[in-house]
Amino acid sequence: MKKHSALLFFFIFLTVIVPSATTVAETNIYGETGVALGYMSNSNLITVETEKETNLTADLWGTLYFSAMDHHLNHCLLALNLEGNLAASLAEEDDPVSIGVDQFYLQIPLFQDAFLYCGKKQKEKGISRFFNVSNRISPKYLVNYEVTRTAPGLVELDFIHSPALSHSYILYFPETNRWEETNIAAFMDFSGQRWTADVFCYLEKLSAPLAGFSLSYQHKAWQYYVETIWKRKADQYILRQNGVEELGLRKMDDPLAAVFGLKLTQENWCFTMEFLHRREGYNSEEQRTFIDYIKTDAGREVGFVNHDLLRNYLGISFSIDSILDSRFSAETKAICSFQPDTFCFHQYVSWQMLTQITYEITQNSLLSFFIEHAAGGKYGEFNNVYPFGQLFALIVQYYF
Amino acid sequence: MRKILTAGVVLLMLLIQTVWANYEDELLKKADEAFFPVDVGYFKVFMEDYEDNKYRRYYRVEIFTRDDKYLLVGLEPNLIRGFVQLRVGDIIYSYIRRIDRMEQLSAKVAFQGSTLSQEDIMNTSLAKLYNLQSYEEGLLDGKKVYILHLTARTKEVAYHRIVSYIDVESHELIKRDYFTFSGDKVREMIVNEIRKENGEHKAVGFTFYDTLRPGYYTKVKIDDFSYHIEAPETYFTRSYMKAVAK
Repeated sequence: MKKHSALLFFFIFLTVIVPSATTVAETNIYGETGVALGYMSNSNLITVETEKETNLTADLWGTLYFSAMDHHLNHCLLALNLEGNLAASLAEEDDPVSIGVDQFYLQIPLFQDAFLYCGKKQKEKGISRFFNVSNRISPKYLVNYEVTRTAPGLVELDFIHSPALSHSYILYFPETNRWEETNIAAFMDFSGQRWTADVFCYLEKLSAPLAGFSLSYQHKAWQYYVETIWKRKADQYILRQNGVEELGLRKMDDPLAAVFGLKLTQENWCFTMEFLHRREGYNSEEQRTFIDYIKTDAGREVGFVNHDLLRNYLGISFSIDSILDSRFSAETKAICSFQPDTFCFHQYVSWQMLTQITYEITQNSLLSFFIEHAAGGKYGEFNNVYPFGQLFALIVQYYF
Repeated sequence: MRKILTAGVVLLMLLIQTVWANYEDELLKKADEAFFPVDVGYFKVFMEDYEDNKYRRYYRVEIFTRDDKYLLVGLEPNLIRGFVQLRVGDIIYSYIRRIDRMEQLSAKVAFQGSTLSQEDIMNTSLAKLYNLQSYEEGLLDGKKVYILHLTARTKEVAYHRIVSYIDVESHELIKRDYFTFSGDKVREMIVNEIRKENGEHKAVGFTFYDTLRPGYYTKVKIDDFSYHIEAPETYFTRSYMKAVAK
């Protein structure tokens, strides 16, 4: 169904929108594709998937962009997403390769310095590299060797008031079936000589308010920033033991999540460090009971969202654009979760390390070697929740 | 009487210093204008990177400019489609539509792995970022030149010191040497072409050498100047970057 919808979109775009757009607009077709051969070693968590699958993976992915923009900045973008498991046989899966619509939207300039966006679109917001707490519309997650971001249906109005001030208003519909589940967001962006600030608020499902701000200051090669979000109430699943172990909701009033970060950029290398504190996250007691629970048969199917479990996370990354030769580049990232308020610190700490070394074969093609490793203490998050302990992958990417 | 004479001498020295400083500022301004047009609102840049004297990659970008603001839009190859950079004062923002990411960069960061820094691409006037400390007359390859010694106004810029060689008659740039804060010469620019028609620039070409790595250089050609486009102030905002990314 997903493939048929995507192909239908593509057909409509190709036969209706492109011909009418090409008469006055500049059209571009471009994209990227990649193949990854991977090996995973199992972690402490054994799920239904890891029990039956081999450790070898062969994944295919790609994005194809169709873009038409005229000199008035009327813009139409269609991004088709391709994902596939090359190792799956036809007998096991109906669609080893799936095509979906990643984004499809129109950009329409209204009057002086105002734009209307309508469609399925990603919304970029926030400063943090690792923990994008302020972005509730298209939050980004570090997943293996790529960053994923959702694109909900939305209607967005952007006003560029002056070089120092712009504001935007968004109506967005992530997996919405009823009008009562509509979400609203408003943003105000300020820019100064060396600083930027964003103030925002959300009203989710027309009932749950959230608000926050992000602030960035540049001093020479250093950038300092903070990104925060406050919710009126937060729900967190914790394990309740009332005779029977089961997950239940804990409601917390006024939880605040804040990211503090700094970034140092030099000619061909960059260092970033961020600290995330989430008040609604698990304390050490809740972490211990949750980790014990997910090792049981009942707990194995519990879903996991990156960096959405505990209270404290530290992220560090170092990237270098040129190692000996400009064709070699590398990046290493580490994310650590920990409980500072326990005597058994080593039992609750865990870390996830990701390293990628890339070779530029030609200007448009890259060969990368990727390693991911999760480790930690007895009740550590990453080593117990991730389905693999280590991931090795050889990746070839082509941009066209 | 003596006091009047002393005051007169001091005033004369101040006057000479002011006139000299004004002449130096005027010389730097003329050098900037002879090399690159100051009243242009739009131009295109074509760059070819060479490593070990072998061709490696190319880029074509278009740039809108107003005062000390620059908006760069990636054109070719398709790898940089949807790539936009904005320079406002000392801050450089970079937006990539493919990964939908907005970042802040330093002026010292290399532009797309080339020998040019972000500042080299997004700055057309030395006078905005550097002070002329002194100048002298000299010879370069048998030609009479002014040798201008410039130092950075702030520490946010890419280079600490620049030595610029300009033709005495036309004030056109012939060569520039770039030095870091540690005193090392890191880049050398040789101007290949400054073509004008009816007093307006039509093309500027130069080669940018990495003096620390022999065989590494970038050839740059700037053309398609448009003198009649004045981009609105709101072009040079983060919100507009996302709208203009193709």
